[in-house]
Amino acid sequence: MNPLDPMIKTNDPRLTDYVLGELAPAEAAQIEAALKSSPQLRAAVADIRQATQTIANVFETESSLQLAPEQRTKLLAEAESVSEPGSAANTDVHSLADNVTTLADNVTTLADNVTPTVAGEHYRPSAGSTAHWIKIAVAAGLAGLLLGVGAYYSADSERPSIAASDEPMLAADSVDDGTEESELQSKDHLGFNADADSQVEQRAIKKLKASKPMSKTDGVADQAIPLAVKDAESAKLNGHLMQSLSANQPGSAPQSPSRPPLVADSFGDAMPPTFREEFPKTRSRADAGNAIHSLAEAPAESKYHRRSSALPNVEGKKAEAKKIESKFTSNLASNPAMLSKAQQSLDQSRLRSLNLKVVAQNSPSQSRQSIDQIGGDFHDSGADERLPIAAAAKPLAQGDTMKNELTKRSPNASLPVTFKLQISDQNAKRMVQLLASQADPLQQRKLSFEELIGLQKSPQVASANSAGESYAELMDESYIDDAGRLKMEMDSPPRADTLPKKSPSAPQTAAALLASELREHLRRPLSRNNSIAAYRGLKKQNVETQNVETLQDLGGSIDSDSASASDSPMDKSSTVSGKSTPENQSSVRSQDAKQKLPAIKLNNELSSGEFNFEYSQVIQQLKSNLEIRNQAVPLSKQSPARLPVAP
Amino acid sequence: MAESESDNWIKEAILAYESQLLRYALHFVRDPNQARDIVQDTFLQLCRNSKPELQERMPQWLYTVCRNRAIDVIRKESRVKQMPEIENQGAALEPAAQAPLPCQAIEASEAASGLMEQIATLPDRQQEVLRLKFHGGLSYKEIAEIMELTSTNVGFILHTAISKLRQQMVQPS
Repeated sequence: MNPLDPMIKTNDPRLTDYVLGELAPAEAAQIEAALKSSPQLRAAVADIRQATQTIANVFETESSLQLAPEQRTKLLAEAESVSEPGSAANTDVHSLADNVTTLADNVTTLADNVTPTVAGEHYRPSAGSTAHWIKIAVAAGLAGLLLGVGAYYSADSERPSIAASDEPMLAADSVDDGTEESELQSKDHLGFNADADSQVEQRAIKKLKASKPMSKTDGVADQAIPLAVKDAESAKLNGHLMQSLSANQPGSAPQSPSRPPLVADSFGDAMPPTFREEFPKTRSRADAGNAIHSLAEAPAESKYHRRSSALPNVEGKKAEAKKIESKFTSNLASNPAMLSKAQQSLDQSRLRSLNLKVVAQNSPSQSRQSIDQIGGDFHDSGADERLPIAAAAKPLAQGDTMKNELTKRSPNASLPVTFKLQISDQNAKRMVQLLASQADPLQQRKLSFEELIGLQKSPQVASANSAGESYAELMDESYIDDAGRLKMEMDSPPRADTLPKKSPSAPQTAAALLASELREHLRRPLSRNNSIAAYRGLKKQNVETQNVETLQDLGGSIDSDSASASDSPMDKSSTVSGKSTPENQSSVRSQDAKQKLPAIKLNNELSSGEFNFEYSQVIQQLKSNLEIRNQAVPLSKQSPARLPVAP
Repeated sequence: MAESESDNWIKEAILAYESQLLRYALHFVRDPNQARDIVQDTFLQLCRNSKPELQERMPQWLYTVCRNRAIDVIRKESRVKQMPEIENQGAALEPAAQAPLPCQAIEASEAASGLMEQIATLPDRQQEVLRLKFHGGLSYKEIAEIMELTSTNVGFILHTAISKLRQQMVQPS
């Protein structure tokens, strides 16, 4: 312990720093003073010094390592290539910087001419780094401006068709491409005499900027304001640029400070004569301002109108365009094929836009919301009434959007709009599983079960089916997709005569609908996979059956033999073979009531994939799990024996 | 003349830092071949730089590039660090031209092997600081720049490592 400095201990890191010479002089002096008075510190320092020396020796005695010979050769070659001018290694930042510097030096000569004086003397950048970069920045900026002017010059000279065709309207229309030359050209069309201090311009720009925003769908009107503003501003900028450029042109005529030259003035004869004649630059500033006002106030039906109202000599062109348009219309009317094709194309374009909107927004809740807002009932209005969008079969969008679109497409259609929910056997089965397994999916979808299966029972589907139309065509669209979301297909708006009439004998309650639907559905032939899936769904509901394992272990076939051979206590009398009938279903129910066993029977012919299971068991499970909205009679108050039997 | 100087400074750097960087890279990757590749990449990057930029901070620049490259390799291959025999590492690498005398080599190897084993038991960061300080001959400031630490932190890490080694050297005796 150092008596002079109690903070210094034998394990103080500063001792190591002192030994290694890493301490500041002041601290080193403090340590040395402490060492003189403390033998412990001296011993500690000696110990550290010895340890560091040992460690250093250890590292020094490490065998020296070398790169592999080929690596060393490659490195040395690379090092040599660095020193060679024009090598690949020279194409780095430094060489690029050298190139920029060279360019800057070249352009600085021009910059010295363009930038006349700084405080009465020519600007000479100093040798300092700041001045160097300033020089580069100024030179690059000027080079960019000159390149832009050159591009305009070259583009204009390569555009004889516009100028020589004596079509100022086409030239004006080309402004909308948004390019720099087109902007400059549009400025020139207006005869815009740029002046930074022009109050007329400023007033016009303010008016344009303060004007109400256009509709997004009106693309032409949407472009009008920024384009006109750009015209004015670019003209202003260009005026200053050309003023500064022309001030140093040898032999150039002195320019009035109140009238900076336009681009066309600078290029003189390079401007096509027809161009100059068509757009004389003799307009006053007031005229230019009025032209901008006309731009802002021009009707926004088309860029044709927008331009024609502001440009000179356009009335004749406008009449000509209208003549062409009327001629095209008359030709179209006289050619039914062309007309239908045009109409079809128009429909397709609308259809695409509609589909885009429909697809853009889709969720089960939104679909439900759509139906609620439209107030639609679920019907099928038949294939004949399908709109083209039915082929696309896109999910519904939000109700208001869909309602508007449908109204727009079919203005004579009366709401509620008809939607058709299509369900496949597989998805119906999955739906039963979901409903039986948990009520949450039902609540999430906010679609009651009776609503869903009510669609399945729509008479139109049945009639279409009986009329020979492919049932699969109508029903193969899943409305529960892979992600578990509800999908619906929009169909045509209903007509009054196509609306289904509810039969007084039709089941009205949710329970009755459920029972009838299940009965109807389960009588349909199912695929083997669906059968297995349905059965597994039943098993999830703790429906104890003895052949569950047999079914789950199915890789291949299931038949009644295998079911009975699996020591199943299931009473064969409780099963229904083949398609169920009211008679044998009643028998099943009576047997189930006694044995409390599910009745599942796999058909012998698995190739047909036909099987039946007792719907009462499913209902039993649903009763305990489901919450069906808007049900007239709670399921719990109904017994399976009271359920209506399907015809 | 300038070209030859430019050529020479890279060659000199290769000769001066080749072995140190290889050992340093070996500390990270434990694989001599990978260490060679890392050092090769480091020198290749050196070739793409100019001497004026690196003249005053050549060692820390080389060590920093080597370290970053080694970390990249480790991350890329998600290598699990294994601790091979130090002697094997040395045998796998080519020895330097100037080898010590046999008797000195035996004594040094005996002492060094024991101490090197003890160093190998230290945490990685302490090993790295020891190597940069005693093998690379860098100052605290340079080490701090390479390892992105403060100089005080470097001093503390170094002091902790030396203290541990001192204790381990005393205990066997």
